[in-house]
Amino acid sequence: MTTDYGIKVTEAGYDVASADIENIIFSSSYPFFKVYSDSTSSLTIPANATSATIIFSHSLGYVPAFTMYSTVYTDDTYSRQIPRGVSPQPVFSSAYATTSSVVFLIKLDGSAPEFSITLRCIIFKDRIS
Amino acid sequence: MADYGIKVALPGYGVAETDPRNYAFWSKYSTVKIYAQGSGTLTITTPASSNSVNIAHGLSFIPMYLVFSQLKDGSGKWFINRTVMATGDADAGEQYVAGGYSFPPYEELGAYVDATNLHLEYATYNSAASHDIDYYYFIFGDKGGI
Repeated sequence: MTTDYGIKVTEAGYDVASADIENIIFSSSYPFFKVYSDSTSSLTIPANATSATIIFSHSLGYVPAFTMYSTVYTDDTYSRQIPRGVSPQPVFSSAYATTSSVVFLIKLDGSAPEFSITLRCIIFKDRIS
Repeated sequence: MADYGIKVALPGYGVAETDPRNYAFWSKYSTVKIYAQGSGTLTITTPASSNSVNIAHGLSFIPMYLVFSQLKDGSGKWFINRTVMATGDADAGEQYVAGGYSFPPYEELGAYVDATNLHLEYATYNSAASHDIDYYYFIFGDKGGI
């Protein structure tokens, strides 16, 4: 049995026997993230607050990879990927994963009006610990 | 023959579905392939305020990447990508007090990728103490460069 086996799909015009990885649509030699959960959560943050936290729980039992996006407090029609810097608003944020949750942290300078924030958290089954 | 390929629909959806998000896989759309992944520990040794590591990827182009960092050894909290904020969470880094000011816990990851390496550089306000930072990275087999 040859050692070269599996499934491979390449872009149109590329031979599966010689295509470089960037021209491969799918290859069973390379895994891709499997989505464990895709959820949203909203929080109203009072005026002049200095910090807030939103927690997304999971039951994987290990630390998973994830990604997260948030709305912007002055405009909820677009999203920013977390972590986001201070510009253009006095809002810092970061996010981390543990063996039981993914936690979003936000810190403000105490001058923001009351606003609501909505987060979308996508947790992958792929472990990082 | 215009319509050919492989489709795997999510539960509750048929392969006549037209919305890509309702598929686990559709050969019409490329997947983001995990080309390499790994972990390591970087030590910022006093009196330095930063340290860096290069991770050679061996690809012929600038790839996409994703990095998670346990900024405080043993905290069990793995922060995603660049951590720019002082969270008030002691596990976001080391507290630093100097000149009458108390700087919140803070570490910063500066990361970039070129055609040769994924470069991780961690900086800290607290150069008075050595500490370890654990990282876990994914390098994707898809272009992230311009």
